[in-house]
Amino acid sequence: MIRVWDEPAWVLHARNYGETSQIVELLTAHEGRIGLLARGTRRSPKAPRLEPFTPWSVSWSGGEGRLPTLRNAERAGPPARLQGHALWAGFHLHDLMLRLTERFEPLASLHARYTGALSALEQGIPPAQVVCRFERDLLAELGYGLNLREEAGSREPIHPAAHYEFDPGSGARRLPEGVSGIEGRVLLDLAQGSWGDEASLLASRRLLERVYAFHGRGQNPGVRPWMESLLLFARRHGA
Amino acid sequence: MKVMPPPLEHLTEALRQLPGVGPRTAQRLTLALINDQGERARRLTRALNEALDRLQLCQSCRMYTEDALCAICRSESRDRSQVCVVETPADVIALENTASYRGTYFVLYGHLSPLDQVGPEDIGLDLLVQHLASGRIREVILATNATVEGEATAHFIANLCRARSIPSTRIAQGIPMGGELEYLDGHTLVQAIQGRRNYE
Repeated sequence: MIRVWDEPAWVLHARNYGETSQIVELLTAHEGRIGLLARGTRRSPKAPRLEPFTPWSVSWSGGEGRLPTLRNAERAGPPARLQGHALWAGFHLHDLMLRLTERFEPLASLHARYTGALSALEQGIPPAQVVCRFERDLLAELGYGLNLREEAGSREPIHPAAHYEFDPGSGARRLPEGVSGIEGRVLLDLAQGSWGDEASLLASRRLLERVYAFHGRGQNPGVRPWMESLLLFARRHGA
Repeated sequence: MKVMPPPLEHLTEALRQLPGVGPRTAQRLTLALINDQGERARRLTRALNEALDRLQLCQSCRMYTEDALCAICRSESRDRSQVCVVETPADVIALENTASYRGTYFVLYGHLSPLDQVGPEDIGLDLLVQHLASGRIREVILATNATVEGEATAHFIANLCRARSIPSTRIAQGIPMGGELEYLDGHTLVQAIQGRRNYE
């Protein structure tokens, strides 16, 4: 019997189980992503309803082939104040982690990186930038970190004005003069996590999509089509 | 050895799909339905068929009804300029039981959910937009659940209202009747403090 006490955690998704219970997917500080059976959390007014975007301190027991059971959950702080695009971006991060990480896969810094991403969304940093930075960091957590500051092989620093070919497996290779590829500034912006213009951000996103696809982690478009249909609906009706 | 013949097993399994019915209750219900030469079962079958044949969604509010419009939408005494948006028909029944609301409703049958791929059309927002465009609505009361998805849905609908200059209001959140502050969670208390109003 495994018991874990007072582990900091974020709720990624909760789905109803039976009449009163939930199966909750959590991102924890030390145990990676875990799934727990939370009994009685849906109906009892005293049991805390495990909501996403709120920091929790959770205790659980069990395992050994069965879904562990939540023993206690307490709010560890106020919920992140996210609305509109920032909220949908938050769900996008959840979708990425649910699709791309395995339960109990130890991902040392993912909890801290996600906490930082939520804080950035709360501070009003453009959601597309926060998502792009998180996608870059998630790759590193999964063991596919990108070297965006140096050329592969020669280890020459990336020049902002030069053009590069980027191989997801090995890295950047400088292209001869006059041959266009990814601009060096796009790689440096992505490494920095801050973008001077929309074109560079868009190019960074395309690059990340290619890297995820290369590692076999990006075939499922996840929540992106859903978000596009939501934005389309809002635009069609003037919102 | 299996004691229950397959038809009884199928019936038990079908009853188990209902909310609040576990395996033992399902078995008890199965036997109760069959025991009196199936008279109860026949009555239940007739009632189920009648409900399935005659019920439809109200063309205006999407509540269950026998006619094109439900009793609330047909009623002359209801204020049609006020629409209360709720997630389920059970929410309509709960609000109607209070006898304190005289407007109309709009039932979403869910909420927006990116991870479950539930979009605006899935919860009938295309019909709600038609109502907003009709010019008869002066207030939309957002009574979705106080969950993250409920709030997100309320926020999305509020934006649709704003685009047509229709005021939207959100139901209050805070201390329940009979609630003691000592036992409330911090977040509820924060909501209560932030949503305080003048004492009259």
